[in-house]
Amino acid sequence: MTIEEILDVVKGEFKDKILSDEVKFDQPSISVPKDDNTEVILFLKEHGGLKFDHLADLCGVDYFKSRDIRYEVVYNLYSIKFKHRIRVKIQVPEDDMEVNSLTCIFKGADWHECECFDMFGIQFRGHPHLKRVFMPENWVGYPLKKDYPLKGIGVWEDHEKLLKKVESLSKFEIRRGG
Amino acid sequence: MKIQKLIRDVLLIEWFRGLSVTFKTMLVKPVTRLYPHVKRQPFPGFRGRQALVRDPEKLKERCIMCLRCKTVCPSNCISIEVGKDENNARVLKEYSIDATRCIYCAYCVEVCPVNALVLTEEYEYLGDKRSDLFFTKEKLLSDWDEFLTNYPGDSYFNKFWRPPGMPEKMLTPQKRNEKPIEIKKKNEEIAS
Amino acid sequence: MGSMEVKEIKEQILTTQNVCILPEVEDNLETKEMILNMGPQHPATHGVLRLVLRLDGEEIVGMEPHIGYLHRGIEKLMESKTYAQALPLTDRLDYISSPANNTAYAIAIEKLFGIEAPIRAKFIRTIFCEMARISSHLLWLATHALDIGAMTIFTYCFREREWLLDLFEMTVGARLLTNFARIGGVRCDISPEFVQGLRDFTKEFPSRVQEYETLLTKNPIWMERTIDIAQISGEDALSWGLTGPCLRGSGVDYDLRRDCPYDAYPYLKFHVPLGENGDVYDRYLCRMEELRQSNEMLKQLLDQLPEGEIISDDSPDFVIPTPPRQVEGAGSAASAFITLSKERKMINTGDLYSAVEVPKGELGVYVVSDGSGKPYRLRLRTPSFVHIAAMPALSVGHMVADIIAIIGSIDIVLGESDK
Repeated sequence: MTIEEILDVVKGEFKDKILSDEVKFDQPSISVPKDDNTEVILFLKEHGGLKFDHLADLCGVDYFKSRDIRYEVVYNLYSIKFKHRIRVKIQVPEDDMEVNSLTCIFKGADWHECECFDMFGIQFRGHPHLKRVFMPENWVGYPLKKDYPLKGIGVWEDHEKLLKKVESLSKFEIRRGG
Repeated sequence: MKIQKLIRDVLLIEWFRGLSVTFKTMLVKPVTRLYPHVKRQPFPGFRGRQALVRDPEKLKERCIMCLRCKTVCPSNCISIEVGKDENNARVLKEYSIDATRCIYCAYCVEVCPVNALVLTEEYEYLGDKRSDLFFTKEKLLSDWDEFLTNYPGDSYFNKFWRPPGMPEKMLTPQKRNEKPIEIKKKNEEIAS
Repeated sequence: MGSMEVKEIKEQILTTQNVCILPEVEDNLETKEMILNMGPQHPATHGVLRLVLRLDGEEIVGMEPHIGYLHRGIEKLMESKTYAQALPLTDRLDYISSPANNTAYAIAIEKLFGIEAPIRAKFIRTIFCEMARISSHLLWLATHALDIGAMTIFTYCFREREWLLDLFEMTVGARLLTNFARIGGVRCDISPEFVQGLRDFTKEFPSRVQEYETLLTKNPIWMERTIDIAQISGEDALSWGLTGPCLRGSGVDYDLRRDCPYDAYPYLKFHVPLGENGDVYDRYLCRMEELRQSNEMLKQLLDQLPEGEIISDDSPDFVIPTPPRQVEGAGSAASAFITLSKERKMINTGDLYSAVEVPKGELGVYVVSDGSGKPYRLRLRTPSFVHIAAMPALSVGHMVADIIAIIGSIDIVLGESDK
C-alpha cells in the first residue's frame, strides 16, 4: 500500500484520536494521545491490509525546552508481508509519566521499555518487571535527559566504597577525579 | 534409510570423514607465525603511534596552529597551547596527545592542512605508567626521528595525507603539492 | 528380624556408642530450587553477560540475564559531537563487523541530508559489508564450535579471517575498527592489489566452507547437541523481535538486503536461506549457507565494479567553516552550525528511521535532527539487545549445558547489546 492509503485507513478508523500526521523523508508518522497507544497499535497489527507485525524500535526522546510537552515515546513498526513502515508517537508530559505497556501485544517490547525507563524515567503500566537495564540498580538520575550532564553528577556511591577499600589496602596509588 | 544410518553408525563413517580433514593438515605448511622471532610488517597506511613531522629544511615542527586537529578529534585527546614570542608572532608552546584517549581514527591526519601529524606504522610501544602514554611535543618529535631511522625505504609519504581517490578540490593546495619526505641515510649525515 | 528388634538395636547403638544414625527417607522429600550465577566473567558467554539461573537439578526453570557491564553511553556521547565526528563511535558497537555499522550510520545520515553517494562508493561499501559478514560469521562459527567442544574449527576459521583482516588493513589502515565509510561515500579508494587479493579469496573460500561442513554438519555429536534445542516458532520469534538468521531459522522470510535494498544490493542476485524448525541446528545451517551466498555476492560485486568518484560533492565539511582560532573559548557555540558545501544549504529537521542488515540482524538508526550540526537524538536499535531479551523463552526446559549452545546460536556481542 502507498503511504496515502495507509494514512487513509488509519484515519478512517480513528477519526478523532489521531492528533497529527506527517510524511517526512517518505516515512509516515502519526501522533496519538498517550492512553490510546495499545488500541492503535493493536489495530495496526491485526488489520488485514496493514499487518504491522514487527516492532522494529521503541524509544524515548526528550524535547527539553523546545516543546511544551517534554517527552515523547516513538514506536517504529514494519510489515513483513507488505514491506511498509509507520511511526507512532505519543506525547508524555513531565507531570504524568505513566504509559501503557506494549508487552501484551509484542513480547519484545519488554526490554526496550526497561531501557526507556532507565534512561528517561518513563514508567510503563502493566510491565512485568520494570527495572534498570544499563545503569546499576542503585543509580540516581536518568542519564539521557537533556539536563543530565555528560560527565555525570558526582561520584557513584559504590565507586566511593571501592576507592576507600583500595586505599585501606594501601598498596596502590589512588588518583581521584578522572 | 534406517539400514544406511545403522551402517554409518557402526562403521563410523562420519568420524573417518572428519578425521581425514584434520589429518590432511599435517601435510600442509602451518600458517602460524613465530612472533617475536618473526615480526609482521604492517601495510603502508597502518594507524599506529602518533608523531609530529620534523620538516627536513626548517628542522622543527610544521604546525601552523590552526587548531583543526583539536576541533575534529572525536575524543578530545589533543591539547594545544599557543603563545607569543618577542616579535609578537604566534608560536607553538605546547602540543600534546593523550594516547590513552586516542581512538586512532586518523581524522587529525586527514584534516591537517600542512601535513604536520602522522599516525606511523609503529605498533610495538608501551608505557609502565599512565604518564608514559601522554605524549608531549618533544616526545612526538623524537618518535618521528626514531621512526624514520628504522624505516626501510628512501622516502616516506603517509597514505592519509592524500587518501587515494580523494578529488583534488577537497584538498588544500599544500596537500596537493606534497612530496614524499626524503630520509637521509646515516652515512650521509655522519659525512656532512 | 522384626521392626521392634531393629528399634531396640538402634537405641542401644545410640546410647552406648554415641553414633548418629540418619533418619529413614520419607516418600515426599521437599526440594528447593537452586540459584546459580553464571557470572560476568565466563569463557563461554562471549563477553560480560551475567545469567542468573534457577535450577531444578540440572533442568532450567527460570533465567534472568543482566547486562550493562559494557555500557559506555554511546547515545549520549553522540549528542555532543557533530555528525562526522560521531562516526568512529559506531565502530565500537559490534566491534567484529565494524564496516557494517559504519555503513548503517552513513546511510541514515545521507537520507537525512538528502545527498546521494556515487555508484562506485556504494559498491565499495557493499564489498566491505559482505566481507564483514563473512568475517563475523567465521568468528561466530569458531566460538560456537569451540564452546560445544570442536576445537579445530576455531583455528581453521581464524586462518580464513586473517586473510580478510589483512585486506582491510591494506585499504584502510586498521584491521578491526575500520572507520571506513563517510557521509556521502567512502574514505579512500581500493587498490588493484586489494581486488586481486579478494578474487583469490573468493576462489579458495568455498572449499574451506566444505571442510567445516564435513567436520560438523553430519557429525553425530554435533547433531545430538544442537537438534531440537531452543526451538522457537515463527510467530514467537517475530513477537520477541528477533531478526537476521535467528528469525530466518524459524521460517520467516525477512531480509533487509532483499526487501528494502540499499547501496549496491539492487544489482546483485542472491538467495536467502530459510530454516524449518527454529532450533540451534537450523540457525547453524542458515549461517553456513549465508557464508556461501556472501562469497557469490563478492564475486558479482568485483565483476560489476564501476569506475567513478568515491565521495559525493555534497559531503559535509569535516571541520566547521568558521576560523577555528576562536574555538578555544567559544567551542560549543562556534561548532553548533554546519552548512553543507558551497551553496550553504542548511540541514533538514525532522526524524528518520533507517535499517540495515548487519551480520547479527537488523541495525536500526533513528535520528532526530533539529537543524544544528549535531544530532538531537540518535537511537541505535541493536540486534543483540533484543536477542538477549528472548533468551529466557528459548532456554527454559533445557539443561545447563544447552545454554552454551543457545548463547552461541543467537550470536550476541556484548558491545552491541550494551552500547
